[in-house]
Amino acid sequence: MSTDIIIINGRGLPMNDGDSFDWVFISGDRICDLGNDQGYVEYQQKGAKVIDAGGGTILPGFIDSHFHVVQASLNSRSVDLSTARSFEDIGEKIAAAARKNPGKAIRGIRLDQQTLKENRMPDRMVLDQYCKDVPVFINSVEYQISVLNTYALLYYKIPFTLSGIYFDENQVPTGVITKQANMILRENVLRNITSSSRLEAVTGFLEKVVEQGITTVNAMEGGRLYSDKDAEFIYEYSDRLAIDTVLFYQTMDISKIQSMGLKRIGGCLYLDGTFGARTSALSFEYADAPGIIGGLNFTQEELDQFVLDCYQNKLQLGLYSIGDRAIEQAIKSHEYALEKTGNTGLRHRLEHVELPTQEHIARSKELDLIFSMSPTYEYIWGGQGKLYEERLGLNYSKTNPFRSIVEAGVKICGGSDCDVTPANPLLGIHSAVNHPVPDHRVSVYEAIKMFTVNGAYAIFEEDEKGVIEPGKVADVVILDKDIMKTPPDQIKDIKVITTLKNGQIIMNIS
Amino acid sequence: MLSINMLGEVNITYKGEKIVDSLSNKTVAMICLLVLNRDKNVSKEKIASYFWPDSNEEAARYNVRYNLWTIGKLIPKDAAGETLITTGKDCCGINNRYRFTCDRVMLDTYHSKGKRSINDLLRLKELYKGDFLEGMYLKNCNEFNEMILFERVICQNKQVELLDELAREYEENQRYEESLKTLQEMLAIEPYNEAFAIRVMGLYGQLGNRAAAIHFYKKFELSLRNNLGICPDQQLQEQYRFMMEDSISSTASKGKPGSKGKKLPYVMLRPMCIQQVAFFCLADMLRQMEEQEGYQDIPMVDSNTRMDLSYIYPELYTNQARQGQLSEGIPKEVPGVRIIQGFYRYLEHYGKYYDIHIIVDKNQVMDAMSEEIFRYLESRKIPNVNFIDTM
Repeated sequence: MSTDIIIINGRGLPMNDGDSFDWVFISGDRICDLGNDQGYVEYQQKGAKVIDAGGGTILPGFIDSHFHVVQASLNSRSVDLSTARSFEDIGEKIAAAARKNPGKAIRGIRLDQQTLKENRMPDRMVLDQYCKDVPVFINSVEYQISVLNTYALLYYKIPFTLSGIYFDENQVPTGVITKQANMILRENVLRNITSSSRLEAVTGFLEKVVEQGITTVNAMEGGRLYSDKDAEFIYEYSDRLAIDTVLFYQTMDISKIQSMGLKRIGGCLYLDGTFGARTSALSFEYADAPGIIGGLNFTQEELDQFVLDCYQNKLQLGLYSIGDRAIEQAIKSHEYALEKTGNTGLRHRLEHVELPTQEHIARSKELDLIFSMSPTYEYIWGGQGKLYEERLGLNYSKTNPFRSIVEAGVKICGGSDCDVTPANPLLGIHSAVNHPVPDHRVSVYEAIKMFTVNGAYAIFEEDEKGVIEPGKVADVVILDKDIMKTPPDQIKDIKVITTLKNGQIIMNIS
Repeated sequence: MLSINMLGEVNITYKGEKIVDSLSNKTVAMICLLVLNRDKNVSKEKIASYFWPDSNEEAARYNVRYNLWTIGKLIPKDAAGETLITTGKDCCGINNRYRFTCDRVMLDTYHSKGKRSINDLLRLKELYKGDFLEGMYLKNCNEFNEMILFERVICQNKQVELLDELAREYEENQRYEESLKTLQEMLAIEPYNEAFAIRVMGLYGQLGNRAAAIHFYKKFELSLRNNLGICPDQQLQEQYRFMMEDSISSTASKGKPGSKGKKLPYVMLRPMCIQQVAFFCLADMLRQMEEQEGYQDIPMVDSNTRMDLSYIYPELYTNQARQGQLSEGIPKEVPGVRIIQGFYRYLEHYGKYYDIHIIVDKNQVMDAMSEEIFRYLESRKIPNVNFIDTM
């Protein structure tokens, strides 16, 4: 049952470029009124519940535009191996997990062999030293490699005839699995997770997400490296979840999308790879790997045809493109499809789009493409002495040029790519405002737009969400500080104190 | 008769009656180990190390003795009064006079090189009820668990081999439907195997069902894209185009592009020569070839060939890389033999799409490497590739 609510004593930013307000009245699931001074008193007298924002910021609920809901949720219940620096570290974490949940299979995630002193992946013999009682299934940081202990090798259906199985000198599998075999293994493991397990994991994880003020996510589910069952789960269970999950099914199967009645397709449809793995398609060589420029997963002709099909079927499309060659390929295909069909207004998106040139930005504007970007990448990997400089050399200064994109009039919607980076829009806003390259920084207001009004636009929900004005859905967050007066380098330290979804308080720590 | 099934969940029956449930896991495992080593005796010490590696010597020896006694007690003698296992002081083994059947032993009779009848192959195929010793794992018995893994690899490989042979036998006997069904079983094991996919399409073609072939290709392509992020290889794409063309023209003729009686576009190449620059003439020929009308619209030659030839004509790499077909850099050095073979494959490939005429002016002097390679290529008589006045 909902109660009328007034939030007072705040710095309200409606995010519609209108004036700020200091109170807002919510009735049912809608925003009904807002204003300044004492205008709220009449609602108070009628019995509305009052929430004192304490001088903090009142914003529309955050929209995270790129979020792997199911995998992030499942991963949250896995053993995080990102901090492991040796086989011993891995072993200790696995052994601890085995002690904590006896008899339960263990999944380890985010293992990066480059950070291990052994500089290679462990094999089943290593894992067996720490856990023999249950299956242990470890995923590399980009899911391209799996490692199993002997129990798991015998427990899971492993196609030993496929490419990607590593054997020792006695022709016995080592437990390290890549390529096609890894895909099949992942499918087998992920497919066998029941919907009730998924629901339990997602429900628990979204409680944390709500604490960050997120009220809507674009759920990038299914497809390569993930599981189509994830997409099917979101499709079936979205109305049971605490926040709105807008499904982007990562498939190229247009007929399937149509049969499900979805209006959009894609998300992480990989045109290229990542800077970290040196698989993003660049027009120059990787600074730390001469001769390597990354590869494209499709020919231009193939992508043209697929994009054309999406235009013809009037589906909104999200294409994953990180390197400048991949971005060029994506834009070319959009130009081709637009010329062939003349279909506009579909709000197609480029996901991540990290290394666009000025020309790409200008052409994207012409095409009305939306850039779905993850500013936190810059916080984690951008700037001098970090991964992007290591991989791209001086070209690190060209990544995620938010300022130029905004100035060109291309809309940016912000996402965390959770769980690649944390589900934390304030960290995203901080990262966009404090881009390590000063020329690429945007204002606080522009950065907030990425996670509110632009996020709503990117899913055709701007009539309902993304701004605070009468008639809109009452998805609202309250921050503990006035974000406009907070020193830019401290934005990441701001806390969300209250989250309202559809007019209901779903999180409140004030 | 005693029957021991190791493919799938292990099962031991005597005259159809299940006796596996009255045996412990280690007892069953011991029987399996001995059957796998049926041609020799196995030392009891070895058995102890397999199944009781952490026990002291005396306890381990006792366990071995006890389990052998259990086997002797629970596995009935055969009609001739023989026992399954013979035991000595230090060793034991399968009694080769004892009559029993075992799926894994039968599988050993299969050798892919020996010709077998379809019925033989079907009998072997029927043995596969699942993975070798499915569901079995003995904690701390590392050697035994490794043996299971090793055997699984062997059995899975044999399964694919025999299905492959069966599919070919069916095809040779023009039993295309059954061949197709067998290939689909192979694809269920290796869902991204493009060689299998090509054969499936060929069989649909043989059955005159090009629509099914095209549908199959689309589904297979989608699966490669969605799950592996790759597109089908050149050969499979070519097969698809061929099916499409054939479907459109509704002709029943079989064969590859260029061999269907269609007139191929005429191409004349007149490469320039610079004697002092190795490979110059060949590189110029590649350049001219890339400039031919329609070149971009026909299937590219395989990526290995392009990589090898890019050593002498880098544009071949950059043009393809731009289209996303190559991800590695230009090779720094390529052995001469690969250049020669690369040219052969290149011309053989484009000879399917063009009627190629290569003319070298007598007044020009070719570099030595190009000259040698031209001589070789001319001797190979590549279809639709003609060398005119080259020397």
